[in-house]
Amino acid sequence: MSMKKRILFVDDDAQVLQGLRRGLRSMKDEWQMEFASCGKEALDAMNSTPIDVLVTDMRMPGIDGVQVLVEAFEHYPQTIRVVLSGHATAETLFRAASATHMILIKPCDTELIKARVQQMLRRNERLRDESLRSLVAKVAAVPSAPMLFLQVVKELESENCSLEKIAQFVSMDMGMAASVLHFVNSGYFGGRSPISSPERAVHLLGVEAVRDLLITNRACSAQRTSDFRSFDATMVWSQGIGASVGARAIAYAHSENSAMADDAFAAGLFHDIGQVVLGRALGTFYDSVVERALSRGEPVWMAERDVIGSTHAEVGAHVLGLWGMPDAVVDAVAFHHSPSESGASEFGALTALHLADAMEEQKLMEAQGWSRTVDRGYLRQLGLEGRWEHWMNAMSKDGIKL
Amino acid sequence: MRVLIADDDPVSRLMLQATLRKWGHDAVVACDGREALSILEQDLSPELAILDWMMPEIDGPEVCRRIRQNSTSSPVYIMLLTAKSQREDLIVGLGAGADDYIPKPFNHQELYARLQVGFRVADLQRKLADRVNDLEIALMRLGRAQQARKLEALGQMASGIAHEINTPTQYIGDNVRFLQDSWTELRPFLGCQAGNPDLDYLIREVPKAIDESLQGIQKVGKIVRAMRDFAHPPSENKVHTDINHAVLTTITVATNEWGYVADIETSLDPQLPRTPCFPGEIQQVLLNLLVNAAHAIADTQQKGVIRVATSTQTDSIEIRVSDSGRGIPKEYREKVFEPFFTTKDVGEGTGQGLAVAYSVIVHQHNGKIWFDSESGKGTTFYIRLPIDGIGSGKNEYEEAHFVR
Repeated sequence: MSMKKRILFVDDDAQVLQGLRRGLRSMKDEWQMEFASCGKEALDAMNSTPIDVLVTDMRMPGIDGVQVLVEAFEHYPQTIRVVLSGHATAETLFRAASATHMILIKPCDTELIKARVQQMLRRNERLRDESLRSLVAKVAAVPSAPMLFLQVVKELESENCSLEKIAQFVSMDMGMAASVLHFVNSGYFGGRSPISSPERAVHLLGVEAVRDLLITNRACSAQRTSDFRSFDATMVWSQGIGASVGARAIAYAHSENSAMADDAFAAGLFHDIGQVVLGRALGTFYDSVVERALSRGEPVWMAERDVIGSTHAEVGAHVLGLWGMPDAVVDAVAFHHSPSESGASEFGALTALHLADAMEEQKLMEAQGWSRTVDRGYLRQLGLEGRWEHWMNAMSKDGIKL
Repeated sequence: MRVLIADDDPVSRLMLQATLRKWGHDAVVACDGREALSILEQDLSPELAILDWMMPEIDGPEVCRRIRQNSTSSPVYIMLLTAKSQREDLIVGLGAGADDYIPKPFNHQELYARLQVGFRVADLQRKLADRVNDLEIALMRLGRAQQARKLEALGQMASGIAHEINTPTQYIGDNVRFLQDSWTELRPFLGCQAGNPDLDYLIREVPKAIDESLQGIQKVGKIVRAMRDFAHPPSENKVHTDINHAVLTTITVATNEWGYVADIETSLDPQLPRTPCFPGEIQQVLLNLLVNAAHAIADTQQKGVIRVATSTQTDSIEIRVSDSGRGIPKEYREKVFEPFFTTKDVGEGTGQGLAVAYSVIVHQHNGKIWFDSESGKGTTFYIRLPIDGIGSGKNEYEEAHFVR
């Protein structure tokens, strides 16, 4: 049996804390709940014993919610950080955006609080290795490609700036796309189900909010060359775009289901985000892992598994989960190297991503026929083994169109 | 100074023109009353006119009369030039609207002096007109600023109230959940005391009371959220707005208006793009349309339906508000967008709702608003807002459906 999770609730209204204590009593066997009536008390509680989940109000006298969240992120990054507020302005939420996993708006039913917190805890445990988890937790966002970031800044500053164009640029960049999706899926727009289309996220936010989020509050910043050393970072970005477009084309060719196509697109865009996160979390150590894989001629994920204990696919899925991505996207990223391990028996975003990724590699190697990285057992299980050429065509057709 | 000289005698006309030009004035000439009138009705018309009394067809006093009757022509100082010097004539001339008169043949020094008087008065008149104009603009701005301040204060109050309500709602909800959980735990201890009517009643009613309380709390939450969204502080610039959300918010806020007379059906386009607009104003328009729809249905004395739909068009978004009311009578259809037009009883409607809607949609957003109405079936209002926020600026339905 696992240990009880320590959950700290922070609110300056004593009756709210009492209500939460009573309303969440049914969780007493799983959660050890603690209560702080101000920011200072919350910081003291966190300093004395580490907590698993922080649930804080925003408007409080003295140290407010933003400060509590930011402090928690800086000193205890592995804490799940949740806002529970009835009067949080967009500005304060933007300010705390990269330090917040989830936003719940008062009044919020305790059933919803339970469900959302449990979901986050489950997602957090996706990565079993606790020390790796705490290293990865320090990465609040991934940087964006400088060219695309500049394009977005320019567009936002232009007199008649077009939301369409911003959406296009953001969709091509894993950094900005992750930031807008993270915020939209955090609960800012209420309890709607998570979305995977960066384009839709930009449209939901609108120009002003995109500006406030990306530029004013630097939820995302352009990548610097010092961010990466031995492995070619631009490769990760361009492969992300290639795989996203390819996976969407394949998903769409399979069934004209735009939700699945959106999931496939996001899965493609983010499929190697774990490499960027590992690069930032582990620094030169990760470079040595990549070098080892290159010198032995084996896939990077194998070297990661041998040396680090987890692959970039697992790390990527872990952070995407914490950033509120839909399950289909998280699972697709987690299992894109070995889809049969997912246990899924139907065509989904994972299938599209696995195929698109294999085909990208195939193109890179200029090889013919079956890709060596494709999981044929998985395709056989899905009854899709004979469709390889069909997918190749779908992908190249879409490639030409773009 | 611009001066008009109207005289049918070419010699005296030219002499006067030459004299005035020598004194440095911009003198235009007319050879009869008709021409004089047409010059005086132009933009940038002369500030002072010297009119000969005797002219064919339209004489000097008649020109005066017509100019003074026409409220749109700009103020002009009029001097009548005449050989007549009878006291009665002088009275007729001044009565017709002249400001002064000069007997012919004129003395140069006297003309000069009287012209100075005229210019002084004309100048004062112009300054006065400018000042009035300035004051009107200032008054309008003041009115708008006051309205904006009022809305802002209301918005702040509403969002403050929302916060005040949200916090207790949170712990009321938590406590009711606690009672629900506790009841489930306690229930087995009550055993099966069949036959005890009081206990049976409690066992039956307590869970229901809890469920209904939870539903009520949910409803409060929804209303407060809508109120807060609706009372958003007015923005100075257009913001990309989720129109579907604005529609739902307005419907919730206006529940009191339609709830007793109609059901609302919505069909909102999930792909509707965010549209640049002044959200407060658009919500005001939606509110006005909903209130009108509810009134139209109330008139039929039976429960009706209000349908609200949104859809995406080529370069605009469309909002439709339909009611199953009596329809707008034919004779009123051209007037509904006119300010102060109302068919409601005195004190019930101000007749501003649709005029405001028109001004907001067409003037502020370069959008379009029009309606279809069928007697006995109902009315549908259509609004289109340009997706790019700029739009063509032309209401092509304007001519077809009503005259402004």
